[in-house]
Amino acid sequence: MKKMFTPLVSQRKGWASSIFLTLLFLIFSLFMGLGQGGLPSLRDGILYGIVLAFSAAILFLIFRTGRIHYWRRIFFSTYAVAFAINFVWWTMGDRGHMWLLDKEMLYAKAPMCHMVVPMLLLPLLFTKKIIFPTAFPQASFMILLVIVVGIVYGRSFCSWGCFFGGQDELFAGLPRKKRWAIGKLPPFIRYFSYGLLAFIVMHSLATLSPTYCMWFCPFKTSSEFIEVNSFIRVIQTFIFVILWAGLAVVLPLLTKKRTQCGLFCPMGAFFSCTARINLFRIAIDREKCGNCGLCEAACPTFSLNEESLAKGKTLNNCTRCGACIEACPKAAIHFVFPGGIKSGPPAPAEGEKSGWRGFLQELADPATIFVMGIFLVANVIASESLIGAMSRLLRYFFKI
Amino acid sequence: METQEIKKQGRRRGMVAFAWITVLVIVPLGFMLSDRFTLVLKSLGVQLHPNLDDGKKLVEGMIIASPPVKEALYDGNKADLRNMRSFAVKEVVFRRFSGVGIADRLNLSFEFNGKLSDPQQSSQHFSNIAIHVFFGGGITEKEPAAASSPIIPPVAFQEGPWQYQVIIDGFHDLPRIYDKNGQLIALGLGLYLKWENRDGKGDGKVVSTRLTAALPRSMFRSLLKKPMRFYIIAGAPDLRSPCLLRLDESGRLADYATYGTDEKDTVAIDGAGRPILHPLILQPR
Repeated sequence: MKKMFTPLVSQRKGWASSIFLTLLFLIFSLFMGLGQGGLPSLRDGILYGIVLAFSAAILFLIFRTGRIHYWRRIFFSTYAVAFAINFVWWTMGDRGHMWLLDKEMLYAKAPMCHMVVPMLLLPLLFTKKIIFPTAFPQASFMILLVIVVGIVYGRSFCSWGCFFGGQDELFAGLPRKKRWAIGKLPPFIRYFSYGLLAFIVMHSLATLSPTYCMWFCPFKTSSEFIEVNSFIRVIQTFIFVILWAGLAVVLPLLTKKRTQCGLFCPMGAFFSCTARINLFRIAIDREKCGNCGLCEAACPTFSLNEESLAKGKTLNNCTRCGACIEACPKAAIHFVFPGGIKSGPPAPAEGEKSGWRGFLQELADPATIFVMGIFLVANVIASESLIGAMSRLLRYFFKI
Repeated sequence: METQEIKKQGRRRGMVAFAWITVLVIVPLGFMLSDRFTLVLKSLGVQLHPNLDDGKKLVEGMIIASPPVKEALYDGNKADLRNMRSFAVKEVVFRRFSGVGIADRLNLSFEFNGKLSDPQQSSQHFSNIAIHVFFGGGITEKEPAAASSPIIPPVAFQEGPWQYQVIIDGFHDLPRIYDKNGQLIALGLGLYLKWENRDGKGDGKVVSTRLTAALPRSMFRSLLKKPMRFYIIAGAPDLRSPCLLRLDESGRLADYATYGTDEKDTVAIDGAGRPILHPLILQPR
């Protein structure tokens, strides 16, 4: 059976607005990039330019084709691979191994990721201490990132900015067919990540140590391990490898779903808690909806079910990846502002001349503003990995 | 109906404007002002918590005075000399760490508060203080078997019971731990710099340093149940000496070494010309 693509007229932007938005993105990206310390050398400047061109091309294609999920997935997966290459290469090159040594932890030199932040907050509140052994500016940046992004975009970060989520997405996107169709999820599974979040937050407070990093983080396997120098560390490493292989590789390959992100990630659960205050949501137009279930099947993070569809909205763990929008044959799914505020009349159909009014309408579309905003954030975070990976590969293979 | 529609349209326009301002101004500004956020956190008293700072105290020692250094005997540069003269071991503490992923290994530490020079800031990343600590208990011999080992400075222990020797010198990030037979049994951890904010402005300046030799707890579990004797020697390092403490031409400890000797200012010398060290006592809490 021939694969059918939705026309996506509702999300597609005209040439003028696509070019305008891309230029706007370039200007703001340069502004944000230079604002973070500028460019150290001509070589890095050229690499930054290439990365920026790649990001701008992706953004332009998102706007012009309206296929948010498709182009986002390419960017996101590329970013995740680049992150893994850059990070592992850095550990191997600088340290000669992937171990995070006790010494680095003692000297507060451990690299910190956003996943740690939920575990930091309560100890920070009660003890005024950052319980992760990292540099102070890095910790405060991550805290700020999670606060700002959490409030404005919530779980959208999981599908646009999380360098670990891209691994999940990559493996989920590799197979053509799903080999295991997961039916309706029992509540225990659906709310597991919230339970895990509660546990690690409380346990981290009680022990003043980042529990998730020490015991449950699957992505240690693709970044760095804690030094194995005792039997407990052997067990911890075994758990990391099993969780990564199972949740981030095998299950996504079998189910074409992002199982780690959708069901087990406590950071995702943390962001889900802010869903009620986020600036952008996804709504289902009940009048247009044909109850075909394609959106539910397409959702990689289990964020739609019968109950939520009946209410015309996604579940709190929706990552705004756009998969449901692309899957909907009736263009019944849209980005909206809180309170269900839409952008007004739909964008002009293909071939129809829009004029200034249409141009402004396209700029007022919540999908446009959302994609522009989250892509700016994602690009700032991804740039370092993309540049780093490209730089290392060029140096290794072509000596340049 | 018309009024409602106008209201709705106004609300929509307001929301669009707010959303654009948020994504293009507020969020990017948030990122760009992360340095300010760091300062705000520091001004609120937030600190890093590598647990060294306030791990649970198990035993603690006493203030050890630093005998004057004979300036004329020291041929090093003046800056080094000043560092030596200002150095004083003020406190020796055993702590038990918890958390930060290091609980299963790095459970005890020695701490030496004092104005140590910071190897990370100095040229060659080399500090001009060398420290030897001898500790342990339960040995009945008068003199440890390895007293003649070249890694042990030429000193005479007034009481014998020491099991472990920690040497911290020069490159402070790699203290070595030896047993009483002179066998290297473990590597500890090194220098911990105490960073403090000045007037809450948080410029991250190093205001004091602290040496930490963090050691596997399993080695010392039994020692902490009773008063522990220990000896401490600090002095100028010398790469020509196997023990890495400066020795004079006759192989004796040079004058610019300082001993932890039970708060006595003067040090007796034995027949072989070695300083006789009295043990310091740590009481378990």
